[in-house]
Amino acid sequence: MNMKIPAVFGMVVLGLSGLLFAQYTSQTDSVTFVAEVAQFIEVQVTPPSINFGTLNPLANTTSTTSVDVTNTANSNVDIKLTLSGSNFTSATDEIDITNLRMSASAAAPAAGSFIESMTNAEKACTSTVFNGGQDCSDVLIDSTVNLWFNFFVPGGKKAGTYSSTINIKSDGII
Amino acid sequence: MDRFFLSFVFITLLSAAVFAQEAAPKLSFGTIQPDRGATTYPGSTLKFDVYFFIDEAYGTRAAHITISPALVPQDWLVSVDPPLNDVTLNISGVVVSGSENLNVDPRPLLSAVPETSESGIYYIASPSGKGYLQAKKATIQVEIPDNAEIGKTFDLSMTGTAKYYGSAGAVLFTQSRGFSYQITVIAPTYSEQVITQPAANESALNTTEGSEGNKSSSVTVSQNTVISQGGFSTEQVLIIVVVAVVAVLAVTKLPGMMGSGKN
Repeated sequence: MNMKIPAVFGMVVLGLSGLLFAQYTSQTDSVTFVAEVAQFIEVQVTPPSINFGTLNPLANTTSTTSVDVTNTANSNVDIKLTLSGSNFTSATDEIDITNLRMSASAAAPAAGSFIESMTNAEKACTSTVFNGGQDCSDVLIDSTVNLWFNFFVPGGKKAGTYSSTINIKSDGII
Repeated sequence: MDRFFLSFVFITLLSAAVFAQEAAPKLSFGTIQPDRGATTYPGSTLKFDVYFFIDEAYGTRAAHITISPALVPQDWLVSVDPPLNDVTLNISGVVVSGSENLNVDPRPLLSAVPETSESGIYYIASPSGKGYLQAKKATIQVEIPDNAEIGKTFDLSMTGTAKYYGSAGAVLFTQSRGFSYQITVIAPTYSEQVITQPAANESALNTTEGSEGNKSSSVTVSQNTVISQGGFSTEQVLIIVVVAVVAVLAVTKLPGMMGSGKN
């Protein structure tokens, strides 16, 4: 009878150990590792301005050079361009920004081929919007798109020096 | 011979001067966004660092940068360090005034991080592998209100705009970049509660392939109550049975064996 108690105790301990072992061996744990790589974007714009020269009313003039936008080698994502602009203002008058049209093209487009107007609100490049042969909605790393501008002077505007500021926004494509 | 040499030097210097003058200014704007989101608690404060740089290979003009909120959830407070400051600049003899959070000058890529680092400059390896960018840091601080909805992911967006001085023309250019973050608000302490129990019909689970979905329970982190599902796995039940059989055998047979051993 004296031997029963230690024997049963030993069996219970053995059983509990088995339970514990079974619990550990049957459980599958997974650890998720997440590594976020920082987003680098560097964009070069050159030249820093466009001068259309002296224009006549109702004239439709294309810039003599393109504005080259480069997603530099310091970037690690492709980028999408979004453009917006302020109205052209002089000391006494204003010309709506929609009279400025833009096209992404390797060569100077014909004046009649400009379709998309600039707006005060942000307007994103797509595969069709602002696409004159180049897609400014996906500018690869270390590559350049050439942006050409065409300006129409509406009738009834006073003589003067007009200027506008165009903002080029670059968003990483992830 | 001397006259020829002097002419050559003069022409070379003149060409260099003309080239330097003709080189078109380049506007560059470099940004580094290390974080795209975070998980946090109501009433907490988050900080997101953003870095700005101009590699002088791509930019020749200083960028004057403002950082402003574009999309901020209601009642959330956002601030930027360094804060917006009014500045007056002399640009080629013309005095201009403006506001900026910070300005960044064109700097070269460095082949190695200098032993003595410059105050306020962070040396960050370029993805190009060609060296180290010299960047300045701004910190976006976000204060989450106490009543922010738990379990919801909020979108927060900031815009960094680079302005350049010294150009004249009908159309001038600025550059901008969006910094978007997804911020998930959770309860300060972890908790788990089963909202829906899995279907109890074990045989249905075994025979119907499509019923696998029933095994998953919907869990929400909303209260501090933990309801345990309990129960043993098949392996555990087998071990319990084995242990029980051994124990019964031990109780019934072992004393006799022990006793015979004694004798």
